[in-house]
Amino acid sequence: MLRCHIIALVLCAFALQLPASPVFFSKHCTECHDAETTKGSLNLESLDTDFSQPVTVDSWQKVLEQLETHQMPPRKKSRPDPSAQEKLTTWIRSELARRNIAPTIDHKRRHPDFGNRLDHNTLFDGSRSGPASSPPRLWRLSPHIYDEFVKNLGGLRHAVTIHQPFAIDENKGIIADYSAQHLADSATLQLLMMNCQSIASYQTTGILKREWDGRMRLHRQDEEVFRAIVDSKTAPTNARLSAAISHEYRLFLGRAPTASELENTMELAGKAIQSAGNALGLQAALVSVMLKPEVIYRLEIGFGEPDEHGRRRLSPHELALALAYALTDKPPEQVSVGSGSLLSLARSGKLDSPDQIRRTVRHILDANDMSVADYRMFTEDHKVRNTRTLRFFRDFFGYHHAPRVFKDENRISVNSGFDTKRIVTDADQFVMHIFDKDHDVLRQLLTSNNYFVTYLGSDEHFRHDLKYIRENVNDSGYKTNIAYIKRIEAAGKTPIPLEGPSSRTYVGFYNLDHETWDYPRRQPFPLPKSQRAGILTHPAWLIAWSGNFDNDPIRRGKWIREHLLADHVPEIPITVDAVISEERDHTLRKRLEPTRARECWTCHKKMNPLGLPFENFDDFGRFRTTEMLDDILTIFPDRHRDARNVRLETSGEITDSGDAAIDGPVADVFELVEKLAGSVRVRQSFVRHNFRYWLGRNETFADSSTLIAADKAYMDNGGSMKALIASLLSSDSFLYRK
Amino acid sequence: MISHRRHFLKGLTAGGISPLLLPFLHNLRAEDNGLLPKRFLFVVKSSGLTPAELVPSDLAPSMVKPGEKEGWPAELVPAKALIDIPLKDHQLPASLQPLAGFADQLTILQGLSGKMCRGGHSAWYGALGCYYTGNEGNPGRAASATVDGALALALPSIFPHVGLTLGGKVLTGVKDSVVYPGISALAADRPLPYQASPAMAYKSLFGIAAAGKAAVAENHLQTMLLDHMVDDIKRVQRQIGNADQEKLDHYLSAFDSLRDRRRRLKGLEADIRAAAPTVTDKFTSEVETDRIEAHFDIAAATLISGISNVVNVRADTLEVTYRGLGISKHVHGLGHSESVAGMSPVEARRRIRTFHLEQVARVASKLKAVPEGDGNMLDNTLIVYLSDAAEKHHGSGIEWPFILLGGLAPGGGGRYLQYPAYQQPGHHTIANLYNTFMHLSGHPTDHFGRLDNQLPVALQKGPLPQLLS
Repeated sequence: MLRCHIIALVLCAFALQLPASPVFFSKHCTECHDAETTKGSLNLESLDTDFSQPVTVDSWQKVLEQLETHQMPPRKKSRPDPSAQEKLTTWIRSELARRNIAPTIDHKRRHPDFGNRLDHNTLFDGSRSGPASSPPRLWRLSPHIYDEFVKNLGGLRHAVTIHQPFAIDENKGIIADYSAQHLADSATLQLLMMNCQSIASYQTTGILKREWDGRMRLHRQDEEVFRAIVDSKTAPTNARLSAAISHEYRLFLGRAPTASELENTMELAGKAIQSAGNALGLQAALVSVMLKPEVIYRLEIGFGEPDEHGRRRLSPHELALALAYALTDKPPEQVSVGSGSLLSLARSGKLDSPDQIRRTVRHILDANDMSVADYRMFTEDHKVRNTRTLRFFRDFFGYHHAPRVFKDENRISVNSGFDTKRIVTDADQFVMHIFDKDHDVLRQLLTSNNYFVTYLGSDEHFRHDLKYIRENVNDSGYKTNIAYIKRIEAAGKTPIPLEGPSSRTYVGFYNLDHETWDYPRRQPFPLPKSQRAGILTHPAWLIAWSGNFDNDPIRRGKWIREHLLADHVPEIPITVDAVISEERDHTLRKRLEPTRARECWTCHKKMNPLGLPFENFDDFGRFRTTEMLDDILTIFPDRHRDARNVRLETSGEITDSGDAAIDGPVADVFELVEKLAGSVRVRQSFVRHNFRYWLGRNETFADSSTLIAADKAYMDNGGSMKALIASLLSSDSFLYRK
Repeated sequence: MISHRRHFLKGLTAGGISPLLLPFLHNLRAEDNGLLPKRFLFVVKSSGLTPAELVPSDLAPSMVKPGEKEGWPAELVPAKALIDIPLKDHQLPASLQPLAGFADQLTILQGLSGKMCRGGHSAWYGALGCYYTGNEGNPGRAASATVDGALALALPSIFPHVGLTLGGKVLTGVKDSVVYPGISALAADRPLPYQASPAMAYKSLFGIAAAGKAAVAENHLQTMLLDHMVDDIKRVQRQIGNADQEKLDHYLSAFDSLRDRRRRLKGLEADIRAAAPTVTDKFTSEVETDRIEAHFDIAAATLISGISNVVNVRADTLEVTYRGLGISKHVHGLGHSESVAGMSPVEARRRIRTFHLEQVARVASKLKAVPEGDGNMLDNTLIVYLSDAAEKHHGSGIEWPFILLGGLAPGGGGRYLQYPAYQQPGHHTIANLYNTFMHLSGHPTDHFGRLDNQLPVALQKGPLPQLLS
């Protein structure tokens, strides 16, 4: 709010300096922000146009941002004349440009945090039907693609440490892998060069490493094309050298070198061999191939012919690469489609039409059908399949951050079984199962009570693990385990296939009793509808969006506001030292009441009423019917026998959602998620976030037709997320560059 | 060491000067002119630096008050007027004991504010840049240079800025890679990288100095390769026209700078070799304290060899658990006063601080052992210890403590200096301190970063006179 006042004042000040501005000034600013009133306790009348002063620049940057994102003047006031506003923003931009200062707004627009600033209704009302495209771009490889590549080099990782040069810092609930966000700079390059040297050595001379038994062993990728040069005492012939370089091109770029590329690399190889001998010289040439920009960056320039709008289509090779890395972490030649590969399909003209692309995308997604898969294949321990889709869900919901939320040992005890990693795996299985079923996906994600708990993926795995527990006499908890299994089986039930009592206690976070629960061998299985409804009531999500000691209604509400309602909540103002009261003789709802103060509520009303219904659960994600006061909750019921419990208040409200059909009070979390699941706005917000993930950038108004088509594809196919993805990946936004 | 370096360089001047040696010769000439090289080492811890823990122990009864709740860290009594006390008459607090041998070059600096920055787990770039940026999990935009970045530009060297860290952003774990912790920037939108692996840092900083025929051949090949790559990228640039030029420019300049660095390092291998740290198991250890020690070894060697004048050690992140100090709880948990086996969280934080300052003392000893001009290298160095979260785990920036060590600040030695509290007459901000650093570097600034709108503009300008006189 304060910010709005600042901007209004700045506008006023500016208006004084442009001949046409006094009108603008009196129309939109002076009502609240003249020097006398200085609403917001700020007087910016002294703001000048001296752009050599950082403070001045700062203020103008804010003006530009507020105007271009339509945050100012406030919604309830009359809108400024577009041409007057454009005149103002053009002037600010030119002043910044004159001093070589980049507009902050341009930087922000490229950032995932900024995605929702674009007016939602304009995106979906069909008023913007212009031809869509993405800018020509270079997209740095993701760490996952790099990992996959190194893995494919076989035994390399056993011989030498390969460092990840393309780290992406993960933020909770943010789609992080944006093409505009990541660069390869000198620090990255140093790591890359070290890795490339290791790879080149492994490919040619091999790497000696002392093994666990003390013996030295040579790790070498035994390729004849390299061996012929390295093992020879004479300089290689041009033919051999050319074969070696071409081999490396195919391995790293998926194509043969052009004539000039071959010539240049041959020249380097020749000089290097002359200087340092066959082995080192060849290695230098191979490294030069590995360091080509095309290897580090996915080039999406648009090498196709321009159309009538001046857009260029991705060439077949570019398209194959873009699709491969959208759907998998593998290069297109390794992605099978029928009897061929994605690359061969593109080259033979079978990806020319959007229809063909849609079919191919569906084929690839279906081939990774997780409903028949061993679910352990995509857990942390077992590495992953179809991880691109899984990563979308993780980025979007942020539930995989549960293990990073620290809970005091006093509350859970050491080795207490607070196994949040396992809960995350359960959540992975939950979302991927729904994805595989591909029917009414968003509604299922938000409302399904069919959960997975410690599911091993198949009955065979269940039998295998239980047999192991029965026979593992070396385990310190062996006797306890056997006693547990016998007790459960005697009661005609199935034991949990986990070793150790503390591991089994984790099922308590689903309100299941680890001592008596009859483990379902077929999963998913229904948990009580009165206790669980969708991913937002899953312990993984609830813990990920909880605090160290309490629930976190504010951030949960913020998540819903931004991820499901495509709205924006400003950052907490500088002057606010936000701390929740520690007076534990009150409920958390009561402790949050200071946020109802006028200056706080402007933003908090967007969050708190959406987050408070989650009081149905404690901060370990357990369903509850009362709230405990006076003490910090632990997982040990014995400690709280004398605790004071009060009736739970779970009401909340959806306000100003952009979908009048769902606005209004809700009694509890179940009513909340049910309403959300039925909302058009929520569905469209889901589509927008999908766009960002699969295209690696924020949407613009030019992408309006792409978003509308994706939404339609989802609806026309019974709530099919696969259809939604296929629509996005065959859209003009994906295929064209301008 | 310095006499060796001077001798070495003078030998070269007699036999013809390579333009690539200019930075070193510049230093040498500066020494001849009585202008000695200036160096800065920043040590940035996470989770706040508790002001009350920095007060001389004999003064604590009057200057420190108990924490808000039992078990919470004690608090500093805000000052109404400047407190300027010579340290020689007083007893250093427990965790500053490692610096006892350097008391005459030690300044405990309290009472500055940084309310123009974001509060919470980290002020990100703001901590060293004096501006608001980012949110809880994201550093946001580097709006302008941080002070270490500005100093890197002001005090050019072969590696303008060397960043060493245990991990990435404040809430993420240890990574064996190049990371961007989001605390340092060379300019707007130019975040500075940090090396998380001591072994990799060693290789990139001192690898050039490897001896032997094979190493020489490898270096030659590397130069050849870099030349080839520069040409290759330029060819690609021509092919793709204007598309996303910024990224290729960065990639190209990465090769360019590596190539340039190699040229400039050429001929100095022996000098660097002499200063390079001995690589031990600590460089690849999984134990955090080992890695931190290795990073400090690298920091000292980097400054002594002259390959950089500005080093920043990001001493820990919130996910670090100091197992090597017998602390079983991560820094984040300690910051939240969670229980920890065998000690109180306050004691655990004290142990961590002591450990950091032991490392600072080790670097200071090494610098002190190298003669330079009429004194030693420590005389021309400033070590700056702070937290990017200001005064506590969820810092507010209302006070921002610093420990300064070294002779670079002429008025700074042997003092406990506490400025009047926020909005009191005579109060100053961290921007004044960073102006002081810039002043010491010979590139004075009048303002740094953004202003705190709640304070008069005049008091936020210029350096802190108490550190200069």
